[in-house]
Amino acid sequence: MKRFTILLTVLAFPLALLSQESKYEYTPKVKSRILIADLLGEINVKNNTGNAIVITSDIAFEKPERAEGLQLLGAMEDNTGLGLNVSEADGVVKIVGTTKKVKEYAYTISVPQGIKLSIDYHSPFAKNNLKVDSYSGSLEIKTLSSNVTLTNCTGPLTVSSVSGSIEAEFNGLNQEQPTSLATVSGLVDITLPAATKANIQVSNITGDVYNNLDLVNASENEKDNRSVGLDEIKHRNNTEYTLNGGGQKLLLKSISGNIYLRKK
Amino acid sequence: MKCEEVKLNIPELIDGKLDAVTVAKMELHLKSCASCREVFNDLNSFLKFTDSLPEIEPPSGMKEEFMMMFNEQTSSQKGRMIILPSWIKVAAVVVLALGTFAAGYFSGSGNGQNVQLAAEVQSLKQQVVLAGLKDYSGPQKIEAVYSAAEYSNKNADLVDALMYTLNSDKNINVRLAALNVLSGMVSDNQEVKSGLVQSLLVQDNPLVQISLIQVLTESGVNEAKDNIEFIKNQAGTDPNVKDFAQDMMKTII
Repeated sequence: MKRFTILLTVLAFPLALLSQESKYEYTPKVKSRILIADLLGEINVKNNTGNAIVITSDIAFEKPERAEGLQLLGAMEDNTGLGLNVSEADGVVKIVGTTKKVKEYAYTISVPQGIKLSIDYHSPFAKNNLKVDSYSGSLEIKTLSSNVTLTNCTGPLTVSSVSGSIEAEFNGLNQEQPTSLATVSGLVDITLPAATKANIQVSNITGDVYNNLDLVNASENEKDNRSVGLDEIKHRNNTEYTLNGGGQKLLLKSISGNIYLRKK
Repeated sequence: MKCEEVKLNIPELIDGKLDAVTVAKMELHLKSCASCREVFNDLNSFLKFTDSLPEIEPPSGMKEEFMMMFNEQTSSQKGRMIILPSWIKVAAVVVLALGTFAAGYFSGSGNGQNVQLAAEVQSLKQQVVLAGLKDYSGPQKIEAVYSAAEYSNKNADLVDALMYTLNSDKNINVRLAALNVLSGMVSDNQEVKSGLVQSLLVQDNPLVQISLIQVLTESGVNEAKDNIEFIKNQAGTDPNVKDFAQDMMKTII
């Protein structure tokens, strides 16, 4: 039994080291805006109730032995210990990857409530996906092929992608500013509470639209004589609907992917 | 908390948009700092004053505002982000407004001067409205684009401003919003039509390119044929765009 315990400890110790997370905290001087760029690893974003940006990562990056005494050419200084450079100027906190190897690691970035956040993930080398959970501030995301998953969100959001899919589960819809989700070939899948007030503009070309929300067509379509007394049920390429009498704009666009609208 | 941070957050404090911790810190600072307290009191009283004025149409200077947004974004691309917080502009307006109002009040001005004063206050109110639009986030810019389209009389300045946004904004969703508004004007506005045709040569994002081709072809703008052909044959064009352009070319006679 004793031998087994020792063996278990020996095996578990390196595993524990491997899964160890590093942490960095930064309290912005001005709570205004955060910009994340050139950080191509897996990114998870959430809100916190404090005043500091908290970044945790499983990064285990070490400089190659051959690079001893050398610096990364053209790279910013890693001032976080996580392969990132965090700087603040003129009310904007920039979080930037300092080495291309960051794409192999996962980052969880926790942001104080009320700060606007922009994530530029528009790189052909970004192979991971973006996950945003319980984020209530203004958020802008741009990807090339990465999928974006948002849970427990309210917006306002802008998300654009070329081939990535966008899934958003809303707790409610921010009524102060619009939310816009657009992709070329990915799907758009949104879930809204049934009582949400919104003006939903659905735009697609070759994809289909599936829905179980109580949408009312708000687009002004010209009817010919034969259609008098009949309701139009065909969804056109760019149609605006109201939900529960209408509210803030929710703009959904997929050129060739399907669009799904679900009741929560 | 430093004065710079407090002053930057005063509009949000007045609007009740800050969390409890920040509010407590700001209130503590305001108690001890006469300079920040003065800014807070001036802004608070002026915003109450302007709120009592009737609603107005967005001003004709919308183009300049879009231009300013764009310039600020361009400067950020050069590694220097310039944030002009709305309170700076509002604070300047406060000074102007209080000065103008006091001058009119104490000079015992006649009716003509009162009319002039009212016009000046209206103009200042317009500036405050614009100050509210200047917050640079994508959703706010989309809101501004739709608001401008809804309330303006669709004059040339508005078209220019929307076209500028379509061709220049870094946020793709904002460009799409501008295109959406412009697409409603394409059938009866030659400037919009030719602007959208030219825009085909500027766009490099597949979402905007496809949406633009869709608007032009569905609106029967035959003049777009050469530029669509150009995009289709360009080496770096996204395959989705090439396929779509190929299909939609068939609809142009």
